[in-house]
Amino acid sequence: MKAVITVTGKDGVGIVAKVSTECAKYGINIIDISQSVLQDYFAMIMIAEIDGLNVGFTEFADQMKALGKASNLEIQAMHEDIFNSMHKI
Amino acid sequence: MQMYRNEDILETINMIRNENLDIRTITMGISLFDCVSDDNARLCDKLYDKITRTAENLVKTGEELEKMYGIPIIHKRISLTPISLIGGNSTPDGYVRIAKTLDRSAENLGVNFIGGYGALVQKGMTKGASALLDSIPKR
Repeated sequence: MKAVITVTGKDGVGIVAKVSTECAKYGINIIDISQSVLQDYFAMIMIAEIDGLNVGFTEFADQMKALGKASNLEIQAMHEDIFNSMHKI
Repeated sequence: MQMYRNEDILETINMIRNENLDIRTITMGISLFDCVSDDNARLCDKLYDKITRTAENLVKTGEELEKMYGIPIIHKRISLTPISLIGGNSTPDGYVRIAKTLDRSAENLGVNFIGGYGALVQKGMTKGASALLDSIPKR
């Protein structure tokens, strides 16, 4: 199972480090990262393998949201299926 | 490995955050035929037990799905067997007690709607259906 983690907000130092450290803590393997910075605005999309997740997915999503709040970013972890349903026939 | 285009991901997120994309409702259907009883109080007890037992985790599951897929689910609701088929020989006052039981179970479960307090009358009314209709103005 995969999750899509999106991080949006104002660019700053150490965003990737913060998010990936948190992922490692929960046993998540990051498969792909792409990011773009548009002027001051930062958008990162991570695809991650969540089979090794050591907590429930909803708890992980809550933790990521909380991390985002603490860092003034918007971080959202979503199951990949929503993107499959939305964009693949 | 299945990959996603970044535009697709951002588009979906934009729809949810800014364009109010959501799941309108999830509905649990509950058959009440096994609750039928000729005693109104017993019928009400059975209805309450069956509904609250069956839909115990409906709201919780809905909220988990919201978090998992990152999309709001606006309403969690329950759809019941038409009550005129279950109430059978109840009087209008008996139907009022059933209605209050349904309200109470919905309130305790925290669902947004409970549907099914109705009668099938398109091919003529039975006594039970008629009593249910008579119960509607009562409280």
